[in-house]
Amino acid sequence: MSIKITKEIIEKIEGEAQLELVWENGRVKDSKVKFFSYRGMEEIIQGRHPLDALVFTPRVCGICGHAQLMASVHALEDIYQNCGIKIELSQKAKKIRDLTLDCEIIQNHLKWYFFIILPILYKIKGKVFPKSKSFKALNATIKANKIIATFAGQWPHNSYMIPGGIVCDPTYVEIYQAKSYIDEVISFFEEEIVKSDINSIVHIKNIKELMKFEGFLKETVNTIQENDLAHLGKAHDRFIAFGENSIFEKGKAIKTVAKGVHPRYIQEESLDFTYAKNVTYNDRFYEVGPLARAMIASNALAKSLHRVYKDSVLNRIVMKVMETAYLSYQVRDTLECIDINEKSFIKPKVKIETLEGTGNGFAEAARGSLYHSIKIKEGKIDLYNIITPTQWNLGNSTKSEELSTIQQALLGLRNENEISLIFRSFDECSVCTTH
Amino acid sequence: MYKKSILWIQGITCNGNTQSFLNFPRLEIFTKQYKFLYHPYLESALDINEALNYKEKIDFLIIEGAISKEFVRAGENFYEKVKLLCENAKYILAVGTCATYGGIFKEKDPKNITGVVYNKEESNGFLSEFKKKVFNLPGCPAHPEWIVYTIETLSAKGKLKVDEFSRPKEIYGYLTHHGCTRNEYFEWKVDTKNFGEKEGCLFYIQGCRAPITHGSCNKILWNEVSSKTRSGSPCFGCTESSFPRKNMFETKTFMSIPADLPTGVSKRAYLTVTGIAKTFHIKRLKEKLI
Repeated sequence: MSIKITKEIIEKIEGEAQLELVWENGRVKDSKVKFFSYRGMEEIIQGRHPLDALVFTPRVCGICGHAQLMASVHALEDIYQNCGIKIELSQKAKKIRDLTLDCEIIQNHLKWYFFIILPILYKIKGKVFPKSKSFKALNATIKANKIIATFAGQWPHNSYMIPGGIVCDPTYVEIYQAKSYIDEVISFFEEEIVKSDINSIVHIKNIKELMKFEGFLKETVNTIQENDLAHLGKAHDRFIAFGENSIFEKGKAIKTVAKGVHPRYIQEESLDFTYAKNVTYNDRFYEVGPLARAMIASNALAKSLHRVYKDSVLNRIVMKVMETAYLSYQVRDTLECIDINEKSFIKPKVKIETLEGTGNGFAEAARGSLYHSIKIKEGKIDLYNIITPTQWNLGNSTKSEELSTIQQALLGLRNENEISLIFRSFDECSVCTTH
Repeated sequence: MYKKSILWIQGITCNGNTQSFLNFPRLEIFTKQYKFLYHPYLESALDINEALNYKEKIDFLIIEGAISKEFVRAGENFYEKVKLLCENAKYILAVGTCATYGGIFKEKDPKNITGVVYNKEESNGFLSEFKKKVFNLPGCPAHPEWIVYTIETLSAKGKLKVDEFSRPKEIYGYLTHHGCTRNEYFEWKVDTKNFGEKEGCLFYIQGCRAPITHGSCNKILWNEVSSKTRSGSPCFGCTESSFPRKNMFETKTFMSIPADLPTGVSKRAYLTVTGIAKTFHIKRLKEKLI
């Protein structure tokens, strides 16, 4: 029996992490993920005006700042509700908030797929992924970001959601501009990923139907299957989601789906060797992200893949790529049913600094559930806590009987290719984790 | 043909400038014209530890994020490593407000976190010894066109005009206010009644800093389509050393006059013009645009 330990820096995950692996007889027996830095965003926000959180929290992360903004505004609105003051939100404001966050998720997924996953899969095949394709994808992400900027002013880093609505008041000129941008994103998806019409893609129910469509998605499934990777990367087969923006539903899935989840069961745990805190729900590690969302929504394709592959890397990657299609379709649909005559902003009856209390805010971000909780006291932020998706997926278990999601997924892997594919399938974010 | 090299390294950051740079519409061509020794997202010649320990000459060292002497990047002391990189760099670009003045992440530990050259408005940042070759591109984040413009101009001309904070004048000579679609409301002192409206200026109540903030946000626009103020959000003054300020969604006033007046405008001039402007009740400006 031979045991060895390797340490590797994983980079370009919005920062870096160190992956420490314990090998036994050529297989991963145990693992640890270490994050090097900590920025103290929660402390930075403390003592400030409650609305200032809307300027600070997007700066947690350059790639998912819009989701941070959504979670933050939800938490502030929850404080109103908890103080018995109803927050009125027009359908227009709700729809525009949802669609700009959809766009942030779309650009994230496309970057992940074309800059991380496809290059890894090509490497496994002994090929080099053409850079021109990555840049073509980047061009599509620029279009998705233009939609956000059309309503929010800019991306990254805007603060256009405020308690009671949004600050913009678009005309149909902006609505149609946004529509042409999403059409360009959809065209890219159709030309490169499925070589077909997106309308037929979003209703795919099983892998057999999926494999009828040529393009990168089919190629991805083939590469994963041909290289015996399809059953790797299984974690606990437990999924959770808290956000209810756009197409997403809150709930958890462990064999069956339960819609009730409550933040009181969420627990954070500090560790001495890394700046990332563990997070569990009722003492158990869960997976968050596109696969989790699809399982909770009882998505037919995810369930069909799950019957054969469970929560393996194949299902995780396919559902993340498919989520890009679902959301693009959703954005186009949403743009068509915005009534610009509704109010953008309905001023809350009292100023937030006059309230005292706590609020919880959730958003489904690109990489999974994001949770902000705020306590206001004497007109200022007294406490701010942030739990990010990568914390859910990349924990370090301190108990031998319950591995974290990533530890379970890496267990038994044999080589660098397998490890990099499975590790990156979770689309980690270093800066979020070490907020 | 020799390609000039770029090494992009990050201190304490959110990655916002890296992501902002990926919005540059001509990035594919740009990456063919320059050699990326390291970029936090794009494929690069070096890995992160090789980049931190790079000993050769660098044409453009881009620093994103604030500087602290304790900060660890990929297992190494960032400050020690970046100092050597600075020595080997021909030009240094401090990209973003954190790299310029310390920015948001300075707030965690103000005494021990600075920008490259600046520590808020003081020029005693931890790497201020390299001041002569540093160009500052503040903004939270910096606009991708600002970054590319600075690199291209220095490549072609070897110099560019800068202001007292070493910010390129062709970018920061403008105020964010220039080009705002709400300018006429500012001229006639008509404030917006509420968020979520096309009409009115955000300077009087909602905290807009555009007349006091240097940058070409409303000239070249963000993501080529809009800006904070055009969309209805106050400018938070993110290119200035005072960012992040307190109470950013409201205008601080003294006897109902904004405490901070437009850059270079005396209180007397402001009050005179305001007094006159306000005596005219222009009906069109009080009405809805549509």
